[in-house]
Amino acid sequence: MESRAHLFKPAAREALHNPDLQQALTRVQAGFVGKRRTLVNKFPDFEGLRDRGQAMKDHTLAHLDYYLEQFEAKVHEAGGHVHWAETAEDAQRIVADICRQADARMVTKGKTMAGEEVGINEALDAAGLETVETDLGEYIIQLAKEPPSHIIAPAIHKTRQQICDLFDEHHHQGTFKEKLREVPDLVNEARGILRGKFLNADVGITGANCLVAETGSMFLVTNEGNGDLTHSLPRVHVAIAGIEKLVPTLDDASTLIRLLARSATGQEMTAYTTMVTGPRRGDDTDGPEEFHIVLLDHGRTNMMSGRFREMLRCIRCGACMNHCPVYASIGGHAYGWVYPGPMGSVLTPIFVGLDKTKDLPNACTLNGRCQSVCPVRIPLPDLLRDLREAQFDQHLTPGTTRHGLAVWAWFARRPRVYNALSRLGIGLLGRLGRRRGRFRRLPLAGAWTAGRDFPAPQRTTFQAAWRQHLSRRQTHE
Amino acid sequence: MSDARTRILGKVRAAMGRETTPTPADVQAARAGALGKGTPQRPVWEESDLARFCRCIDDAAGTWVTVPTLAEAGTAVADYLAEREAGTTVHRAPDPRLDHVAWPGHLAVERATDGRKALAAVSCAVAGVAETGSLALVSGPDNPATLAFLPDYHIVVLGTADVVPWFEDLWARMREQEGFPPRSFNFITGPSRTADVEQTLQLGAHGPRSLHVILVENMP
Repeated sequence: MESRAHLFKPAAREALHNPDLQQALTRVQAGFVGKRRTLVNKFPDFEGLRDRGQAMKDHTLAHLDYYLEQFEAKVHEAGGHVHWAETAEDAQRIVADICRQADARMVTKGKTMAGEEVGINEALDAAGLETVETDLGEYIIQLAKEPPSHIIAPAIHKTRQQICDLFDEHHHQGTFKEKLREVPDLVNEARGILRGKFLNADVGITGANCLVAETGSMFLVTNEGNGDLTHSLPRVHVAIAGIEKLVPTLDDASTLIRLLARSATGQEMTAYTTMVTGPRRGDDTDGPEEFHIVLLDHGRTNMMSGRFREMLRCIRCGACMNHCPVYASIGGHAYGWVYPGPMGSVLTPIFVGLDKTKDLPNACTLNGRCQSVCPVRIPLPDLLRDLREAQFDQHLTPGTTRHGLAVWAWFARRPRVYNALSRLGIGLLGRLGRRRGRFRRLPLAGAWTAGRDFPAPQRTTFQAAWRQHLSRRQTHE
Repeated sequence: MSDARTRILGKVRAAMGRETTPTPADVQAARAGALGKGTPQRPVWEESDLARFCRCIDDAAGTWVTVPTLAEAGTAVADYLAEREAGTTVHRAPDPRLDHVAWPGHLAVERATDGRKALAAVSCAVAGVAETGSLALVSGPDNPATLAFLPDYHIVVLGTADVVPWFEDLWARMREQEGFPPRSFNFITGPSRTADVEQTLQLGAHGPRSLHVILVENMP
């Protein structure tokens, strides 16, 4: 998918003033956050589970060559095919070739973020195939010709009215009388239409929530059952997964699923958690004749050395965006690429290029909520700070910021001047704001005071207050 | 394609500062060091495993009933279909265990090799997991996978002795079984659902609209 992350600022501004989007966004907080918290509180040792998840993923990544080879051998043993894709183009070509060889006309798709990353739908369109998204959220945004705005709830930005309008236009050619319909009607209507697609598809494409080296299996976690209809009914099943999806054993997969279901949708287990291994066996009466897995690099091996390897632990649960105040204000589309929110602000610059995504690492208040809920303890704020540093080193930071920092650095290296000046400034602001306790307007801080008041400082600097505190304590001792 | 494979694996090894894949012994040792030998963190409960299993099915919007013998599962199926007004035709999995079911005369029972024609279907689960109320189904000629996904009403027969506490217990059991893993090993926890329209939960998205578990106390 082509990135629009360079348009972050105008897109964010537009999102803030979009009443439909703002209405839809209130539901993210209300739903996911509360449900997750309830289950985490119920779990005996969730912090210990997070530690185990982190240790297990770190161990796997440190021995990824071993586990990839073991996985590949086991897939072959089960009669499946393994394909290695270094780039988005490789993945597109591999999938299009499999479809061509299968003489496919229609392809059903379960949700795959790796597929979004490499633009699988565009490749299938170019190959002249009818491609149908089957996850209800993905189906809605496919009709709307939009990218997903959340990694597990892709149509979370859509209101019921907008979905009614889309169904009216695509299912009834704009002739439907009733303008606003109830949720069960809409779900049933989509069920009926997609059922026909499931039964007639030639190839089914899915993602994978994890790959198990021990057995050469992939796990698929869904609530709708669309993933299972997608891989069980067509003649050919193709799965796309990043190489970081490996876990060593079935027990490790269970650890991961305990973390994933709770962190993502706030469930102990989704309705359907499926372990797929190879194509149909000799005496099976249903299931695909061919099983293909595309192992995707697409920049992941570049993250293997150094700090950003931590990001490869990500299990794509969406908890970081559900708890992010910036995501809650602007939604997912403003981020401009496949992955929104905190994890997207780290991944997009790495996959798309820091020069084309320079606002993303800065669209963060460093409040740390994302890190505190991440099931595999990815230090997202630290990684975003590292990206900011990389921006500075590569001269991508805007001139005003660079000059401002240079001025500040000059003073910071001269503590006496710095202290004298800050004493003067704080004292002055404190005296001026004494009566109201805050400023409505302040020179050079217009961007701050446009949205909120600036609190008046206490009349002494922090350092002075700290010295006073220390000396008082000494007298007491 | 093998070039891509070589390059990807080569980049992984280069990042880890080695030229060859580590040996199984090294990887095992590293794993033991990283994860230790202790049991993984997981839910605990005070009631019996079976009680926990049933409570989790309730929480997942599924239903369940207990019958003494497999023969009596037939009446349980008929009662359920009548209660839901789901007709009198049922597609049963070819699983030989279901041959022991005494099907009431008014039911039309068909053996199904897939789920394409079924409105109501009966499958057999290999196990239940108390931790989450999940049913474990093994795909194959005995229990075709699509039988669990295409019908509106899915009824699953499970022996109470086959309820295990945690997933780790299930894996230990399954590793011993011939033919494992099957093409599709399905954990089913309640009926199909979606919250994609305005975060409102709706049952029956693409799979079964309802899920019913028949727990057999003396499973042959």
